[in-house]
Amino acid sequence: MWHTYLQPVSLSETVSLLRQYLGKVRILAGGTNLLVAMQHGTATAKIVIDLSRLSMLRQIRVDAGTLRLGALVTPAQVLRSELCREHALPLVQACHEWGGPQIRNRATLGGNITNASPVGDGIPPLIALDAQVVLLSSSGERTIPVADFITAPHATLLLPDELLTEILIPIHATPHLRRGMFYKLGMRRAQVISVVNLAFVLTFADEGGASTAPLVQAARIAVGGIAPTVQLAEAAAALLVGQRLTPELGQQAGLLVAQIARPIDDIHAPAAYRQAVLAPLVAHCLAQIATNQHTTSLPHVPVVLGPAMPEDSLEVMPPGNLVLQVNGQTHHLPARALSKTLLTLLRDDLGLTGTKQGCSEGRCGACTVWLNGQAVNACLVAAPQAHHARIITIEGIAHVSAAHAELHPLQQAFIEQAAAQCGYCTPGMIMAGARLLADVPHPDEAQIRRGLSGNLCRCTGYQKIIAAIRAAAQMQSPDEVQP
Amino acid sequence: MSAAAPPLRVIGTPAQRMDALGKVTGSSAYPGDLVRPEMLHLAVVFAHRPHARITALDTSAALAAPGVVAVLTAADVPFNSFGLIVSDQPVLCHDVVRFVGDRVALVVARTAVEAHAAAALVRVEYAPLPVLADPQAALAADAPLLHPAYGSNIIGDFAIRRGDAAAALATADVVVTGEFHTTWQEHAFLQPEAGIAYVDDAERIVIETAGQWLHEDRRQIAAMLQLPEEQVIVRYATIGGAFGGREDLSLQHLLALAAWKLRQPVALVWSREESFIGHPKRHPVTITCTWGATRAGKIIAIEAHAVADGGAYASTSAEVIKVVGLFANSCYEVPNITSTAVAVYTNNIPTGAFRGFGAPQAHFAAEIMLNRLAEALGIDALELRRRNIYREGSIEPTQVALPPGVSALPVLERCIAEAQARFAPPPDLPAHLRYGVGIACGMKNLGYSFGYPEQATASVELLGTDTIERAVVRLGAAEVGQGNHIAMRQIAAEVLGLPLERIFMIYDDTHVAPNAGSASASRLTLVAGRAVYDAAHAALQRWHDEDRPAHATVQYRPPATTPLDPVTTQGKPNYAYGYAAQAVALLVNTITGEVQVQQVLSVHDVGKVINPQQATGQIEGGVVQALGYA
Repeated sequence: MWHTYLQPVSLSETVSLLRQYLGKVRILAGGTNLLVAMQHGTATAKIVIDLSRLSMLRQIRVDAGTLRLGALVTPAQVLRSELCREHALPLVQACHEWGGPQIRNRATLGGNITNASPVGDGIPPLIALDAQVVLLSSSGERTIPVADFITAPHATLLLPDELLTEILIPIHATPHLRRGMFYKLGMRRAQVISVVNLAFVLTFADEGGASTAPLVQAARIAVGGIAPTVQLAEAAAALLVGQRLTPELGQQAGLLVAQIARPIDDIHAPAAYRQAVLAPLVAHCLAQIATNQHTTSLPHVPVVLGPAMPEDSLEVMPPGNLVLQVNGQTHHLPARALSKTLLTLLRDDLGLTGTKQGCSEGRCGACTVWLNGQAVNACLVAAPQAHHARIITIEGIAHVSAAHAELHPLQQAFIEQAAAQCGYCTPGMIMAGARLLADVPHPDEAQIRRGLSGNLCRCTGYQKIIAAIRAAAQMQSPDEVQP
Repeated sequence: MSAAAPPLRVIGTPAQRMDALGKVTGSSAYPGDLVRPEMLHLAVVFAHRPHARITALDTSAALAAPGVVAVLTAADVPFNSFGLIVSDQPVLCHDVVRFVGDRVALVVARTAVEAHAAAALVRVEYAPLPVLADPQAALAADAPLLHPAYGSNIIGDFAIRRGDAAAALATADVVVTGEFHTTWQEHAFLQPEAGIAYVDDAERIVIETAGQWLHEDRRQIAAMLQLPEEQVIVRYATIGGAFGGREDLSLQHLLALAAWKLRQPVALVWSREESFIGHPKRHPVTITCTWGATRAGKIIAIEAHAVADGGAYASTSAEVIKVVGLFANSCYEVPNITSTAVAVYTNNIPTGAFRGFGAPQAHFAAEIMLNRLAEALGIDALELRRRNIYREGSIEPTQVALPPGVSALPVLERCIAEAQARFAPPPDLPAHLRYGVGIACGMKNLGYSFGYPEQATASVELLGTDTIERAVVRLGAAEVGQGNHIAMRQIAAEVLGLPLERIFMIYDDTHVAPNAGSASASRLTLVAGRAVYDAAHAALQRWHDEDRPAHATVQYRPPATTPLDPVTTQGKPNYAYGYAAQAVALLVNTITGEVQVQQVLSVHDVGKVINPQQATGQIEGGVVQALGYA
């Protein structure tokens, strides 16, 4: 991994480090891209700048007619943000479909934009919302539209001495006349890279009526997965303006979107499929918007495994002096631990082998632990990011529930419901499930499936795991839980 | 069961598994959890190319790297080939690599990081060889031979002839043809391969790892090291899933080799990527077939031919292909069948055992053919199934009567009835979503087939003075997650009249547990369970005879199967079958083509269930794994 790990505490320190190590550093935010690439050997970074202590970049606020999202804002934060729901609905919908719950607790909007994937789920909504990024360097600040910022797959206008600090989304004066929608097409229903993703932001002159479609005043349509970068479908948007959004108009717009597609074959889908699905999908989404059904897939209170934003202040790590608080015990780690992930540190240095390694890329959930109350994949946390954080592992979960000194109710329920077969996924399942139960004491089936969607099991078919969550919910009463 | 038999006390109850507590608390030790700080770490140098000749191998830079203790190559392997059925796979390649996952060298270092860094420094020069990317290329007359000594790229072939299919097809009222392609499937057991090995004080090589058959792992490792089997101990840690993917050696022999050579404890924990290329997959199969029926809906003839991609090494391909060929007719009696099947060497990843062992591919083709036939005949597909489905006394394609207990029809009828009662389309469905229901049937053998030696050995020891205080069951049967050990414990407790907690199992070590055969072929509950049952009865008899402590070891051999007669293709392929029928309700998104399964109803004849909770767990897991395959 890295040999130098820098953890600046201010923006000015960060940009001066960027200037000092010009082009020789990698920025580590949520780690859901960089740590995957490094563990796969597809990225190397000898010097890392960890942004985790820049808490000023975690804010969501409205200022002077603009919704301002810090670069470190996570999908989980967006999901729970009333401001985002009011002013950036397609972004909220995208965050709902983004990775799994553990990924949503760690990934960042800034990381998603700078990673500049052709199918990054955060990008189409931001482009449709006409968002801009703020880039800070020691010589000043500049602002660039997201649509211009991304120039090619995994390439942006970010200069080596610059830090993406904020995302600015203009606020509309009449939000009730503005409808946004995000649509994700993937080969599975969770934890999947998009084949095509679409975002729409339409402003209407009127809301239409029972027999009249609403009148489009302005439109932005952004489409990912059909070209090297997310595309703004300008001709299709222009077609809509000044017209009532009828099904026929939607179909015409779909054909115009399909004309700008230059898709490729990749492991997620063939180009021909992307091309074929595009026009009808655009027409479908526009019909949903026209009939006000564009928000139906988004629950009122989306499941988030843990507090959307950890309340604990993140202490700054003195050089080479890593301290972890695991299951209530404090551990002072040797310097070699600095270059590890939290997973390897827990397993190799602390002997806590209950946390399992299954994929090292945040897809299987076998390494799920609680980091300051959030369920996260330990394989995608750099150990120094967890400095002084409160960590709970499967070995410590029993004691989270005060009334059950022996076992957590969910552990008991897993035994009784035969929810563990080979058992390798079980610790991660329990850490995700117990977190869900702490937040949603009596989850319905949709919430259970959502809460466990970041955890894979190959043995059970999930039925008995879902039954165990239900049984544990019956067993425990909410006031016994101390999250 | 006769009316006089006492009611069962333990069998049939949802007894809790003894490994559940360790699994829910994280204390169970899987192979990757056995690594200790003093151990040396291994890293495998993989070929990462499909077919090439090794022209140079230079380990000097790797040997000079920090922390490196040794770099092992083919020259270090006492007997450099292994395999489940035929030993055609090099432990470490010295001349030719035949697939991306071929192992070329093994780096031993103080830490895993150092081992992997040094593995990148092992310099291997390759001269590319022509790549056989699919079976058709491998079967071409001018195709190069992947294993020249065998004289052919065919791993195994199989043929059944019953009646005269060609003649019957010529007289059939309706004939339909089809061609079906299936692709690879990865087991993706959650625990990637891992393990440790060391030489103990008695000069025995001990390998602690995961697998599906302790004694077979031991046989292959002993052969590789040219040691007597008694000098090799294979011990299984808690196993994180298998599904057939741990039947072959993957890294167990590499651990043994390094520990034996270096006389130091060694560890190897694979990444998911290494696991993906490190064990065989489900066979891609192409099936071409023709089915013929009378106007009245009697299926009178099938011609089927299957070609399976066996990959670079044999693994269990020669047996899998027999199952593909045997189930060409699914579970329908057809008087005229010609079914041929062949497994072929290619430069793809080897294929081997995976849940179903060839049956899923065959049923996929056959059940769709039945539906096509029904459509061509204008007969309801369920009715066509009813008219042709196996009944008691039906004749298999191998010209013998099915083993008794043919429940295919009642299983199908139950499935239809339950689907009618439980399935309903979702209300207020948007126009772009269409609802549909499908039903299919199937069967699968229990135990090994076609004369492959089949046995399980168990020993039961009863300890106590006046009364039996406890029983020790020794049975070398892998608990891969399926719940076998609780089932064995329940059987022993039932026979011995003891509470479950007084039955102790010794099952994880070749040195102390007898050979129960593999955890595969849906066989352990039936075959090993019977061995435990018989051994418990025998021990109990000795206890009653005051021969104490009472001890009995029993080898159970189920009814014999036979290979097929090479001329007539007659034979008894299997001694038992399980029957199943499934109904699936799903939605199709007509815009995107996405399929969303709404409900699955899976009806199985499982015989007398030992532990209903574990049995339903197996079915639920199998169904969801199959949905992933579909």
